[in-house]
Amino acid sequence: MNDHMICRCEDVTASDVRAAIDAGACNAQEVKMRTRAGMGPCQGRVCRPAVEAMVGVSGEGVLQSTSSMTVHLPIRPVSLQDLVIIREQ
Amino acid sequence: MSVALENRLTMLSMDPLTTTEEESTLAASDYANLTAHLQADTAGTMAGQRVVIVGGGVIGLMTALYLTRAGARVELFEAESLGAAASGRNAGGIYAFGRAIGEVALARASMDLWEDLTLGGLDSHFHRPGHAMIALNDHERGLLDMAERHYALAGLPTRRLTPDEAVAVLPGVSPDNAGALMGTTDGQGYPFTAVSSIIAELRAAGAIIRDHCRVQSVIERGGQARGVRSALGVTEADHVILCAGPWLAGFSESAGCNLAVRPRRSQIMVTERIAGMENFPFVSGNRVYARRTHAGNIMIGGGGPWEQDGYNVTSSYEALSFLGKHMSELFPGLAGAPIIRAFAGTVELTADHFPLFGPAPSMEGLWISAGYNGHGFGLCAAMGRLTVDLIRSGSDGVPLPAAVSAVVGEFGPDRFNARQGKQP
Ligand SMILES: Cc1cc2nc3c(=O)[nH]c(=O)nc-3n(C[C@H](O)[C@H](O)[C@H](O)COP(=O)(O)OP(=O)(O)OC[C@H]3O[C@@H](n4cnc5c(N)ncnc54)[C@H](O)[C@@H]3O)c2cc1C
Repeated sequence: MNDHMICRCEDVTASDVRAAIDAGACNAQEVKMRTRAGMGPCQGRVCRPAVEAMVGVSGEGVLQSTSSMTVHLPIRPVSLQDLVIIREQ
Repeated sequence: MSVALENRLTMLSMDPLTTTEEESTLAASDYANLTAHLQADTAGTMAGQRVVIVGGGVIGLMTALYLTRAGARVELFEAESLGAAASGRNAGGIYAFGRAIGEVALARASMDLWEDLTLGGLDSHFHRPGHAMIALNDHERGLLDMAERHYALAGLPTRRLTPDEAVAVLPGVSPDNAGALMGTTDGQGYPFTAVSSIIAELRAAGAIIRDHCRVQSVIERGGQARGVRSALGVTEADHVILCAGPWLAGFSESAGCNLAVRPRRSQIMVTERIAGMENFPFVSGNRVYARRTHAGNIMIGGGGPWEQDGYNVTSSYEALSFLGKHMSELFPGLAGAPIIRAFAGTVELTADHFPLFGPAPSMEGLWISAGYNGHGFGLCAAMGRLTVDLIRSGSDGVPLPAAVSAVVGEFGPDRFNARQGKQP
């Protein structure tokens, strides 16, 4: 079986994503909530297109939805204390 | 600096100065009575009854779970994604320590039910590492000393930590802390797997789940709720339960009372996974709170008067800066931890900070369970379970057991009308 790695940060494979879709996930955000894909340090920059493609091609039963995996601040990891220092500049 | 006597224990909802010893003692007997009541087997008690649940957050889903176990034929409607509003954007705290004394019995019972559900196979990551509230000055230390006495009367186990003990138990905490008080039985869980696991049980048991399907109205005939209308047309039911979280207010007209729930943004940021903090409890103090997830990230949350009302769920720089500043003061050892993600959710506030739970005055068979004031993830197990009693009290004429009315009796959803004078 060639089980492709979809999200390296959180160790999520294509079959994990497929299982989430089979269990009812109908957009990338719902896949994320079921698998943690996109929740690691890169925040989905690598896996989001793959997850979206899989949700898109999985055929009947998948609802059309405008909602997609949410993109969260910060764009790159910053430390707790950096958040404070930036502010005081 | 004028901060010496400030109280920054924002997770201490109980006011130790106004709470009476009688109230605290009552919380202990309420919990004992409720626990005894919850031993009863509900299987089959709602056999054949058709129930529509409006809202697929944790409250709607957990209610669906207990009603299905009681034999009801449940159909749940969720306007968007299941468990993705506040129910998928919360901190996962399931605790009693810090709660107002009137909520302690319910919160403890709910922790016990979460534990039972988890032992029974629910994938919730529920465990009880405790909740440590950390004082940074003598005023806060004094409040915690008073709180300790009230919670002891309420039967909630706590442990006092000296500043040195706090440093030993809470890796990274400020060595200048003024001591801590820890609820030793407090729990936490992981919303995403809990929700998925509830959905799986519901589907396996034959409950119908309609996600991405908004309920447009409640159907009434002859003073009785008969079902709901959605894009699918009419769905008939014997009972309709509104679990719409902050959106509940939109049902005021159907319910015949002012369902005043105020939506308010609440924000969280999350660190990278940090090794070696496996036993980290839920912590709070200095206007923030934090929890270690099962994956090893630390989530940090907290609000203030600067936060906005409404449904905006974008993160604000102000909040990230506030959380960074206050968390690195409380836990200097974590100040270098990389933040990888921030998100916001919508909490559901009522005027008196108690939920809306009970029958709607407009018609028979319409019920309300919402407005949990940012405590709904923890409370959902108890509220879901007690909805079985609530509905039986309306339909089978089984009176609401005293043990139940003792803890939810004040939550009547029409109480804001009564106080403001009846509106037509
Ligand atoms: C940042 C943050 C941190 C929190 N931390 C904690 C914590 O540590 N511990 C804790 O106990 N609680 C916490 N909470 C609060 C907790 O998340 C909520 O109290 C709880 O999720 C409420 O659940 P609910 O099902 O009532 O509401 P929601 O999760 O808001 O769900 C309501 C659902 O109803 C749906 N709906 C509305 N109208 C309709 C309609 N007409 N038809 C169909 N569906 C409809 C909505 O789409 C929504 O999905 C936190 C909340 C936030 C935002």
